[in-house]
Amino acid sequence: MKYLIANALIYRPEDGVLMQPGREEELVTLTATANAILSLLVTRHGIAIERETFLSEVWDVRGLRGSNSSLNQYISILRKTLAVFAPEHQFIITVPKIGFMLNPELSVQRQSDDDDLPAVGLPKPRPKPKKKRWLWPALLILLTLINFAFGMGKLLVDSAESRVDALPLTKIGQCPIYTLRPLPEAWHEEAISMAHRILQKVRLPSCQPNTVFYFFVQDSIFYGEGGRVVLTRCVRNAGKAVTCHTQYYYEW
Amino acid sequence: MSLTLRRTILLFVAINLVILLTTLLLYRQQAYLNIDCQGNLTMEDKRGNNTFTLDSLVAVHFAPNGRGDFNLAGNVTTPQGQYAVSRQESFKWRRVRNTMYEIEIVEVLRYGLDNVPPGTFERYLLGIGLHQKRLVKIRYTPDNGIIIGNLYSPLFVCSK
Repeated sequence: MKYLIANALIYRPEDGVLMQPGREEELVTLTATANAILSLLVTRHGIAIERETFLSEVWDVRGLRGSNSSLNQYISILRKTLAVFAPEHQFIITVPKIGFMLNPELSVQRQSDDDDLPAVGLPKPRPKPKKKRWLWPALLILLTLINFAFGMGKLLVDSAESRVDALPLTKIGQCPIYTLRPLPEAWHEEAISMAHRILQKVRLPSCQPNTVFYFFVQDSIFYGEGGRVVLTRCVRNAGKAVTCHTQYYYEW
Repeated sequence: MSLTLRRTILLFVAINLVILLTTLLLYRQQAYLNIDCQGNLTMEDKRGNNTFTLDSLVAVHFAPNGRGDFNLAGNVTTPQGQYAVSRQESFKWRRVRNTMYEIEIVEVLRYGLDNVPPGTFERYLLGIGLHQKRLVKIRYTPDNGIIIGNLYSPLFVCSK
């Protein structure tokens, strides 16, 4: 619940807040006592309220002791506060020998919190920019993902680099021969022939179960310039190499 | 800044620190070799019509503290004759990048059987003489065999 007073200020009795329409961010919060006085004046707009009523409904109900002097003091504070919002209006009028009243010439419109303020003569209140509450968590999640991706990514790349891509070249019986690096297809036949010649030359045990061969040939060999040729025979147990024998030739 | 937001930020900072430390730890583990393997190596070098052959069992050890050694036992044949080789070469190693490591031989310990004339190995196998450095590339086969080689080719494959 709130009140639009004289089309110049909004008063919210629930928390004693005063503000100008359209400038809700610049608000003034009244003390509890000042708020109780203004609330009384607004709810009985245009009616003179006796001093005793103020003392009873503002101070006594809260278990406090009020006096005419403190009432005068609070009325004075309220007048100054209200004058900040609309200096051209006299909001609180003194009613001699009775008390005070809210100026009956001023309009007081009661509104629910959801109501828009009247547009006539007033700037339409700007909607408050919504706080981007998701921004911080989103940034933090992003940072965490980047951290994870770069850290673990680097490790995974390093790990992948350390494992060679063994590419199938041919088979000897049931035993596969893999090349330790990609070879152009045009060189496959010569490479296979070379592998066979090495196997015949060194008389390695024939293809036994779980045996694989790894083969490496330097490019220069295929250009007839000599170079390195390496053939390794590994026997596996449960998928792991348990024994390996390497034939290494320089100037094949 | 609300208390909840502050707590959330602290939580994320903590998670990021854990990720960072885990990454560093894993990276350190990856960078520090811990290899103990052996394999048979038969090599034949025909450069310059001086055939050099080595038929040997090689045991390689890289310790995480940057030290290591390889033990070589077998036979060597050169145009000058046939010899027995039995020696341990200790080295220091450091990671250069990715799969590339530099080793420096710091001690050559020849066992009693080793009768290879001095200089023979140094002549055919570059970089395994005392105080010599060489780059080695260490990679793995799909079945966890360890490929030890240089920039140009594998030298041999050993298994754990």
